[in-house]
Amino acid sequence: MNFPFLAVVLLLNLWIWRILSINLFLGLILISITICLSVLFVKPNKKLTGILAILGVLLLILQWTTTKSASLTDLSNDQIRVRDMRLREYPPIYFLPIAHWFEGRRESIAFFRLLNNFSEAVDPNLYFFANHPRERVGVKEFEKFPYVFLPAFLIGVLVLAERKKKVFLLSLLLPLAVLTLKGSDNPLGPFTLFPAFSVAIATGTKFFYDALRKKRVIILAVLILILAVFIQTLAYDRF
Amino acid sequence: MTGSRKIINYFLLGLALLLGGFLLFYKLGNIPSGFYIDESLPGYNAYSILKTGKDEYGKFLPLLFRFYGSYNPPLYTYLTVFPIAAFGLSVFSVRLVSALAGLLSAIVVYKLLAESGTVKNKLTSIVVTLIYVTTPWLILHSRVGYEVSTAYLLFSLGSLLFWLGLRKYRFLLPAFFFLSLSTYAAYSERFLVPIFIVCLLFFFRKELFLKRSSRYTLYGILTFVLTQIPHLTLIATPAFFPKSNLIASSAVVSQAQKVAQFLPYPISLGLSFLREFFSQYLTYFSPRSLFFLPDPDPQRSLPVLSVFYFWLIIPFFLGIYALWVKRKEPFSKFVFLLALLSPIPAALTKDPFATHRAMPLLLPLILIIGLGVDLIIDRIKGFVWIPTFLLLFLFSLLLLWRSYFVFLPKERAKDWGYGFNLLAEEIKDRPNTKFVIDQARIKPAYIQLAFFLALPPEDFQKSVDPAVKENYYENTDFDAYYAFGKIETRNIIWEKDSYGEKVLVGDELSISPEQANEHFLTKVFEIRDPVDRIIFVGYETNPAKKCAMGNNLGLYCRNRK
Repeated sequence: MNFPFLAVVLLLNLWIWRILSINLFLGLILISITICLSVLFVKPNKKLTGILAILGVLLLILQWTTTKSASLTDLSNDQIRVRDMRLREYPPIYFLPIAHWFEGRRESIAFFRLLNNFSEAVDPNLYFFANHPRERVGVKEFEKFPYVFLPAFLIGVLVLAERKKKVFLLSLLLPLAVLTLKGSDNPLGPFTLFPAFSVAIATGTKFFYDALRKKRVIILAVLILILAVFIQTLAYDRF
Repeated sequence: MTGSRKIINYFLLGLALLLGGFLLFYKLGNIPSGFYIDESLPGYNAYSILKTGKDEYGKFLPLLFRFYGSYNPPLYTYLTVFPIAAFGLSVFSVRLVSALAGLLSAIVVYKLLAESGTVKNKLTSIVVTLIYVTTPWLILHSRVGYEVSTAYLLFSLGSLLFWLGLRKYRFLLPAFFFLSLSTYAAYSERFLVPIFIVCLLFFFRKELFLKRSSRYTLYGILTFVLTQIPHLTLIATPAFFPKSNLIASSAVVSQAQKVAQFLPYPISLGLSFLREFFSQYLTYFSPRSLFFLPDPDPQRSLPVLSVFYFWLIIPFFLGIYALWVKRKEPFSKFVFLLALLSPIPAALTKDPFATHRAMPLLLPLILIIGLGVDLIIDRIKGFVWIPTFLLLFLFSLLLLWRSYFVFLPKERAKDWGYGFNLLAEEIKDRPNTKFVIDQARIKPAYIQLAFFLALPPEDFQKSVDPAVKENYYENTDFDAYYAFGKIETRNIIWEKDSYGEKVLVGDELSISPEQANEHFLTKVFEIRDPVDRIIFVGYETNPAKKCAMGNNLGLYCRNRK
């Protein structure tokens, strides 16, 4: 059972506390989905799947509506300057308007912006290091999970992928699709990914615990490290 | 593999290498459109070695090249002697070894995948080699006149030979030799290789210390130790660790001060170091850095193109999955080890995602992508993947052409040290004029000028402080002041320079219009980059007028009389 590990993950991350303090309803939905997802992995249940689907759709709608829209095609004055400069840089190719295709067409501008949105959502540094060392311009970054959970997250994703947990993959891919289309300019971050991340971290933590079960000193040391890193994360958030 | 299949395979590999050769050698001397200081240093020093057997300071065959206090590993400079001897002192000659190394590394990647024992489809190695030779990471860092791609080739070759050596033990000795040699080519390998070798010996101990293999392993270790003797003789000198200031110590201290409000300072410092290191380390595996964003340093990145093409994120994830599923197989262990260790030296520095320092990581990442490609080819029935791949591949080539061959030579010209060849022409056109090259805002200019003016090394060595040669490996302080021929490189001293007949050279901010008016300067040339930004401006002084207007009171005016 992953539940004790899930409890540790839910308690020791600043992201959920921040969400609960700003929007209690959203926080409770996130916790409910996380628990449902975790239960489903242990015991498949149609009723629970239905509840999860409804809550999941609600969550995606919340992410969509609370995220600030950014146009996929509009250009600022500086972007227009760069575009015009680049249009002049291409060599003259009379039979193919490549310069226009890449720089001028709205479709290609939108395509590259979608790629950018996607890249921001899949950056692990966003979740474990407040995007350090490649912080985004004009965005107030904050730490979501203590970085000590990172190895557990990576292993958890691989373990769940190996077990072919389709629900888990959906809980990653659907939010990613929404974030790609809408961007992640949200004061609470890309919170639709919270359940998948929490479950993956809990799974990975259990994987490590099983591997180290008999080495109590190491487990104790890791627990102390987790607590110390949580305090460190708190300190960064505070100052 | 049957005979005809083998021929087809080699034919396709040849085509991939041909394409790689074209991408690596086409306009090699012109793109990047400048000559960066890190290129001119090995370039001119190789020329100096060729002509005199000594470097710019007059040191006979140094073990580390002092350059401007950076003490670079020597191999690239020594290898560059050959193209300079063959083709003369030119930008092309300096970049040739690097481009060749990039091309040869494609054969290593092909061979590693073909011999992995993990790849199922025969075409995978060819497809991955084709992707590899067009990878922006490889193209950018192989078309430069400095050491990273040469070190990477040697490291990759050592890794390949080690992998082969696990089955054919006679390869172990050359494996350790090439790994050791790579430490003489670049900093990253110098710190990475010892850790890598210790980990290899530990994780493959069962294979390496069998009755049949232990003899070869010991010979290999002995080879490594013997070939490290030159390094060991320098390990206690400051020249061996000249880049320790690159380690992100100030960031760690400032973070620790925040945490110290809650935890004792030593613990805070340790935790802050952990956070800083792992945040840097993780960036090297972040899909955002690998597939979407370029390296933040404009000199070491392509405009609007990351180090891999965006669509390779799919085989990347699938490759990691494949590695995990086969985690007990030796090849997976080998790739995991390569991937986890390669970014360590780069992650210890303060620059985020420094691709030149993390070059060894290219090898495991392309192998991971290769495993992902293999999974896709294996799962998709028939040959549907071929048109899809070709479409994506052609689109990638367009992206590369746009970023590397269209934008880079224009937008990044200034970052690449554009204009020194033109400045050298201006200097040559005025053989009797003195020049002062302002160093307040320009990176040390002496070496590019020495290169483009093809100054005789014997003369140049005489202009350097002889104390440097005496204490070559201890004297790390660099002084940008140089005086050779009619040229001085230093900051402009207005009270002195405006009273002498000379041309003052700076960038667009070195000399303001007010200063030009005040000191009666006349603009004699202006060098602009391809997007019309000013690179250098040359102003001629007018001491007669300056003295006349200043009532002839100054010391320099009196001297003129």
